[in-house]
Amino acid sequence: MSNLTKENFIKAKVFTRFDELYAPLLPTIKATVMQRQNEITDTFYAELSKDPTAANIVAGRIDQLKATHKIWMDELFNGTYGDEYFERRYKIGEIHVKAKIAPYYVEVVTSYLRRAFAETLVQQGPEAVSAALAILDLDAMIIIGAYHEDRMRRMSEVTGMNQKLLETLMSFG
Amino acid sequence: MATKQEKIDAVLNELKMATSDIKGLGVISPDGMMIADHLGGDQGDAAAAMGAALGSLAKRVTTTLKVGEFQEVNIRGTNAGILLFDIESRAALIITVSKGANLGLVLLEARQAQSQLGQII
Ligand code: HEM
Repeated sequence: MSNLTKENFIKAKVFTRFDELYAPLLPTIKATVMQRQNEITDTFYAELSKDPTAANIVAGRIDQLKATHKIWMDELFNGTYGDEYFERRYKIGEIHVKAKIAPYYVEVVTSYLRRAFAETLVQQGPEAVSAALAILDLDAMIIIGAYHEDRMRRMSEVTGMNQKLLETLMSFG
Repeated sequence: MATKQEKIDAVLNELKMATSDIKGLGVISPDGMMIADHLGGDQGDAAAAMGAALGSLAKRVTTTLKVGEFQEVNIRGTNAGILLFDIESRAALIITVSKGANLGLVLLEARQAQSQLGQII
């Protein structure tokens, strides 16, 4: 189930005029970011490993994770952000949910990535920084969306209440 | 020929007439939507959502604790009571009863309505 997150992804793209303003810019800044990709990815895992719980989760597979992180970053600047892009990103979210990684960690490392991208692109001007942050935010939104939907699914399972009913009940809150 | 809605309303009307201990009643969907609202007052939406929540949770409890199929819930408040009856997992019948109601008669009538509604819905 990714319907709600997909709806939000589509709405957010319209809201930020992503396809018009940022999508065309992203491939033009890819080379600059990828030049620093190794450094950004290394720092990403170094930062993560400072936290004992997170360090435990990634222990023994950092090299493999770095390789997938590179592919993830490369795809971030590909220039096409349709259904296929969404499905791949949602799957990444689901993988983190299944690995029982608390969403808190995803949020703090996204914050690191925001700063790293901004520092890398500052020379290229505000549009370049905005475009990188815009796609990063969409990616984070999809991953966090996968967590939200998993919580709703589990809540539905333990209470026996279907998701529509849960949403209705929350509207009374 | 009567519509489904008319048939449901007829069952509810008959049940309401059976005893003055029944204050209000309604049929609700598992999504928490009101199918037929004879509750009176302006709490229909909340009653439908809360009733559906109660029914879903009760069903979950009965399966988890292995006490068979969920049939009904009886809530006693200090001012009045609430009864909820499952209708073939497709809906629920919610009834509010007065304080000190003759529950024997209410339950007898309500279970009959429950089975009739099961044929209709
Ligand atoms: C924005 C933040 C993050 C991004 C973009 C990201 C990216 C990725 C990608 C692309 C994969 C590979 C998915 C696949 O197999 O297709 C992955 C897997 C994984 N990530 Fe992340 N990640 C993030 C945050 C985190 C954090 C915070 C942790 C740990 C605390 C983490 C731990 C893992 C682990 C353990 C896997 C492998 C899961 C498995 O295969 O069972 N990631 N990540």
